[in-house]
Amino acid sequence: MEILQKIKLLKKIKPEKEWVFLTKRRILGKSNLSPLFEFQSLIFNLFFRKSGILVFSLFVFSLFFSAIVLNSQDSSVSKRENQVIFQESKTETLKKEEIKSDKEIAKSEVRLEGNTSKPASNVVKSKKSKNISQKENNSTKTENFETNNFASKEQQEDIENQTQLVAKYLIEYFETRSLTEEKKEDLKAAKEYFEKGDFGKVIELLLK
Amino acid sequence: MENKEKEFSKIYDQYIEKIYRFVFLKVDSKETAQDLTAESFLRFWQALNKGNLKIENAPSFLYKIARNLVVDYYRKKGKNEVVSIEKIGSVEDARQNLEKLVTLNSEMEIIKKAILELNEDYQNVIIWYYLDDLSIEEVSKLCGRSIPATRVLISRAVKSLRETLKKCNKIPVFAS
Repeated sequence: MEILQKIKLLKKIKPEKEWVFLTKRRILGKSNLSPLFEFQSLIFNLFFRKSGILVFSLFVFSLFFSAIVLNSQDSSVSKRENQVIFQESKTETLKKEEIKSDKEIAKSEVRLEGNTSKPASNVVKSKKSKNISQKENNSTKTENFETNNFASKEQQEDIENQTQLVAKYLIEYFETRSLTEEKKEDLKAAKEYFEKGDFGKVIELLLK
Repeated sequence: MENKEKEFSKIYDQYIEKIYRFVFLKVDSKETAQDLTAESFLRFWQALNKGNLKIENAPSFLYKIARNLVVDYYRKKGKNEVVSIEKIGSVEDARQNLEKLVTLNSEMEIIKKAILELNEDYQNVIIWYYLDDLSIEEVSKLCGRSIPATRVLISRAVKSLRETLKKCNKIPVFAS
């Protein structure tokens, strides 16, 4: 019967999921939901319901700002690295000079004491120990470089993850809105960029 | 206390959509439906805490609260703000009702408005039986009628709805 089918159309009436969860929490007067969900609902309410796109664009702006700050921190780190390298090179030259003076002392001792081989062996020992210490220094230097590189990689990954998150939110947001033909095209292109991993382009396309 | 919360949670998850729909079909906005539905469940939770309620009676209790809240809402507001089918029928100039035309221009809106035109008993049995998929026994308990009387009530409600919809289709405003 046609009328029954028409009535069944009303089954599509459903409350919003966010509202359902928040109402339940409000009634129970406490948070028995997972912190992750709470964070998600907070983000959702903050960005999509309360003030809409304006707040969202502010969020994007703050994200870019933090990215710039991180970049500047990176450059300061590299300056510090340069300073460390300079200091290390200084100490190396000092050590070389010390070795030279040691050699000279040893030679003079050899001359003075004639055939005794002990001082010479001492010099050899001291040389060996110097070499070992130099090697150790080199290895600590390379370790420092590696850790610094690793940190900057982590930061880059962080930025990339945040950009991906923003791009994802933007796509989801625009998917729920009725869009003009032009904006639909943009959304389609943005999805393609998203799949390619060009998240910056996605944000640029959707916020233009 | 935790047990009560679990019970409440279970009933809430089971009936939130139904109660919301029940209220939404009787009021004119999503916000009002949300407020009244939330209030229904809040009162249900309070009754459950006081120990005034057996959990088996939860559905009928919830529907009863929701019905009373809707009645109170209209008492406070005055039902004249709801768009009446009769009123729309008497309107000759469709241009004056452009806003109404936009809101009514979907089948769902039309059927909602048609249901709103029915008397409360007819509205309730249609919602309970056809939308909430309650059994005849459950509907009869909610109505406080016998099972045969409930069957008759349902068939009359459908007949009345059909007539109301026919009226709607005759009105030029609805012709898309």
